[in-house]
Amino acid sequence: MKNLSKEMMGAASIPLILSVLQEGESYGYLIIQRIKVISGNQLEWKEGTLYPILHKLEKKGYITSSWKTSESGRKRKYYKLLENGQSVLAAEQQNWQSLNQIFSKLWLTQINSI
Amino acid sequence: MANSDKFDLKQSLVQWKISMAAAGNLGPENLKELESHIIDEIDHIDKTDLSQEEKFLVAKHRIGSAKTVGKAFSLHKGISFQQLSWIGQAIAYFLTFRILSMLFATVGYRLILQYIPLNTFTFITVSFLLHMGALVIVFFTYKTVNRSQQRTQNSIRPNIIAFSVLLASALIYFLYINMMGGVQGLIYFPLISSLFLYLIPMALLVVFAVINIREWRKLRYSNSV
Repeated sequence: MKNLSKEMMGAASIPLILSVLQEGESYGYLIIQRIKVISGNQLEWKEGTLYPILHKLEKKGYITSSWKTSESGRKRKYYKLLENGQSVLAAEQQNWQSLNQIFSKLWLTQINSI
Repeated sequence: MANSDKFDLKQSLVQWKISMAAAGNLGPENLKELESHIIDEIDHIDKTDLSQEEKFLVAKHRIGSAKTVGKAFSLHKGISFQQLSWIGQAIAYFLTFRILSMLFATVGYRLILQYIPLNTFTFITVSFLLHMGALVIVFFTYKTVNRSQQRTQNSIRPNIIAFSVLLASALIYFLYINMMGGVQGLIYFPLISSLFLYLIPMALLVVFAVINIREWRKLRYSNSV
């Protein structure tokens, strides 16, 4: 997992972000922390590069953002999944699950043949 | 160990934002959001033995350098040739072709026809070759734009190349026209010449544009996943 290529990280970033936002609205720092925790600290990216992806998703109409004041009085930009994003995530889930099944079958066959 | 007595977080954040802004591609709202992120990061660094300055340095490192962040933002921002719709690209092709072919034709006629006697055959042959030359340049210019964009993942340099070619051609053309006093009397054979000078080059232009736009769509698809 440590050697996850740039391309693979790029392909996974959108479904990862949408999946985190499906759990509820969140902000940049928290999204990264959630991914870090769920991956057992194995998945990390340069944190500043998350924001352009969030903005891209917002432009595409998958998510929406708004500035909110937290309990500590600090302002944070929160992102929320939209209906469009839900459908994209559903399609992504299907694709990744199909890929997972294909790899599982292929690798199981290879292991059995050894 | 950093000196915490002299460290001013507010001032350091201002300096950091200035350095991030200098990298380009980051607007005030982007900087505000990144600032909020770095403060969250500092608040959550659980190594209590670190001074605030050290926490700030760790947080800064985790966000990434101004170059890395600026580059990430540039990938999703601004109008590049590849972000134009196919109509936009087709217009870009057409404009570049028209300007280059006008430039080639105007200069070419005056140079070549000094040595070759003017008749229908020479006029059309010379014109046709000049238009084909313009077409080849347009094709390879946009092919280079696509390829270099794919290689550098940076939308600025290839655009500068493409628009420089376009602008330089237009400038030279208009300077030349002004110097030579117009292009009157160049089109002698409108019916025959229109076939060779416009219909064939235009048909080829469409074919070349389709080839390049297909490459561009493949690239756009691979960038979007």
